[in-house]
Amino acid sequence: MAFYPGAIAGLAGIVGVSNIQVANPYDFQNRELTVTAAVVIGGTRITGGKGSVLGVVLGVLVTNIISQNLVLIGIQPEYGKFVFGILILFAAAVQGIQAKLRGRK
Amino acid sequence: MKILRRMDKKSVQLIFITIALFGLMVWLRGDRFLRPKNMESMLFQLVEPGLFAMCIAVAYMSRGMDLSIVSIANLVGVVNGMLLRTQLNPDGSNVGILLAACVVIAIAIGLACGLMNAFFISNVGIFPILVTLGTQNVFMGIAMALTQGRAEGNFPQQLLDFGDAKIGPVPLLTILFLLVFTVLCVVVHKTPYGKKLQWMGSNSKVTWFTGIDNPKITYATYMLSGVFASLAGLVIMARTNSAKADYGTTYVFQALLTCVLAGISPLGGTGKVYNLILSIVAIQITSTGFNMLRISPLIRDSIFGALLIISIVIDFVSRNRRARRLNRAAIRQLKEQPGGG
Repeated sequence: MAFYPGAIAGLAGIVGVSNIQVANPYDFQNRELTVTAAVVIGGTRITGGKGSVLGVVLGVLVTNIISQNLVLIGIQPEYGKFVFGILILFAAAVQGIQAKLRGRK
Repeated sequence: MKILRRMDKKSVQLIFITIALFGLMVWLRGDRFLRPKNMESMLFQLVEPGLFAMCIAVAYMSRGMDLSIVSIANLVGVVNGMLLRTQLNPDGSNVGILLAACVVIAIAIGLACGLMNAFFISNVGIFPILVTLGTQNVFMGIAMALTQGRAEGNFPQQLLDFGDAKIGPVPLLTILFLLVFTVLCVVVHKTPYGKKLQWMGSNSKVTWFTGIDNPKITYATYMLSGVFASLAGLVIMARTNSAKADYGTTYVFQALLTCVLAGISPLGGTGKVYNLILSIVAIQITSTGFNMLRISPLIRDSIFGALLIISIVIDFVSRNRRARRLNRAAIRQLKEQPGGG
């Protein structure tokens, strides 16, 4: 099934290009941050074994709402990376603590 | 030949690779490559990537990862730049104290950032790549917020003189780098901490049940990595006369490549730190070579990427073969034992 992510990434490329109508090699670079944030917020365990497609979709919605509205609520775009960094740490910390509590039980 | 056989296998490979690369460059562009000026600038340039590679090396040995190193270095540069800009007297009378303060602040920032990484990794229990991806952006965000994305620059002349200083033909920074590198070699290969680090990297469950304090080792590892990153931040300041929140983000990738090439595996445990210096030199020759042959940096990135994949594949294959050989040997031993097997 390793071809599947590649196929989806290709699809994402087409969607992206049809949106912005230019293509250049650096277009989607540094998107890993928001994407990883979306996946982790969606409840996917990064070590594998747990996660759902619905969760990931909701995670993408959350990160998109945040990144679109940061400017509207008056936060400088420079802080965007900071916010997403905190977000990843927070979401992953919730998972980590949950796993620890479950282990203790 | 006897010496070669007694040496670490990876070192022999790397020595041959380095000599081959060197020979290739002499053959292709010997006139320009062998100039003393070029040799000097290569020695000068390998300091930052070298320090970053050391950060990644300790993290790799613990079966972890530290993506936040470049952000730590930039944070150090930005904070120190602001300190120098605001606190320096116009007549420059307090330069000495301020530069000493810069070093102290740099190391403090490195330790604090490493502490934060280690806290999330060992106490909260998050996967290291995820933690450092988060903290990378947190640190970069802090630096961005402090500077609003502008570059800090115009550092005092003393700092720049220090960056340019040479002892004989060798830059002072390179000598200091070699000193720090030797310290790391000794720490990893000659101290109890280093042994525990490698054991934890190869199997953390076993070390935990053996009574080794895994969290303590994790803290030491990431703080060490943070300190090396902050030293790199100081070097960047002295070398480029500027500091910016998003400078040199590709260094992480180069450091990964250097470590994997040196046989320090991302799967933890194995590898000799002293091989790192050979792979740092090899990578430096390659990137200088690309510049001299006028190969575009875009192609360079993809060649480095291909190199990374190739060296990871070699690493995995040799690891599997070694495991299989050890397995066979163990089975043979069991069969030969009377009453065993």
